[in-house]
Amino acid sequence: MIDTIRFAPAKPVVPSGANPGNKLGAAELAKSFNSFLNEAIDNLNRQQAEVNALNQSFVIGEAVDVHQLTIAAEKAFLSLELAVQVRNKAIEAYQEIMRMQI
Amino acid sequence: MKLTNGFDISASALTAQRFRMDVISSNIANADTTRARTVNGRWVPYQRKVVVMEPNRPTSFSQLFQNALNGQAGEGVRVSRVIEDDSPFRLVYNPTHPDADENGYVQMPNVDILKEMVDLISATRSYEANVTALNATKAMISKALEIGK
Repeated sequence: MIDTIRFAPAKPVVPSGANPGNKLGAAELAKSFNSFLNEAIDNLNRQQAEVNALNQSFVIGEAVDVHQLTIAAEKAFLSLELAVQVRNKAIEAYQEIMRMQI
Repeated sequence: MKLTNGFDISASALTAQRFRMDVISSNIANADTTRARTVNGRWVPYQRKVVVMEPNRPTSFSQLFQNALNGQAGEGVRVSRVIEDDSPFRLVYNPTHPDADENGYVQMPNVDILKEMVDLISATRSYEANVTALNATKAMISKALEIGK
């Protein structure tokens, strides 16, 4: 469901316990962000699959209420919107970093 | 807190109203049914059915605990049971009817079409109200996703 993609990741991307002096490797940081993003995409995918299954059972005439179908579709749409917003933010941050003069 | 709580609550209400609509349709369809079942070898007419709804409270401890953890506010609705209206049957004078008694009276179902029509409109409007609530929830979430655009 949509709630499993959170604005604040369930596990902070940068462990809050790590003191600033203790250097966190870029690779490690990338890995944890990667896993967060992957989880979100997985959830999105599962939701789309759920809508697909509902759609199929509706089309072949199984007992599915119309509103169940539309609500599942709405949920999937909102999840997609949320994922798109998160992606936009991530890409924005990446581009901001890449613009840095070295 | 779950973002789509409102969806699930409204969805349960939509399902319940759909079910109520089915029961009302059954009442209207059987408004002239004189042979619903037999009691002691005699045919008894159809009895009007009424839907009873109750809040969708969690029944198990684990569900209750999960709801408390998620900070779940509000609860959906579910149909608890369908009861039969015990009001007396209508007596109609129709001696040619096969189910007429020795005086020529036929017991007809205790379904009042006017009442059913009002219930029908009520169910339709409840359905609409829940769809509106659902759309409001969706609009709220969509607006939240527009923050910072």
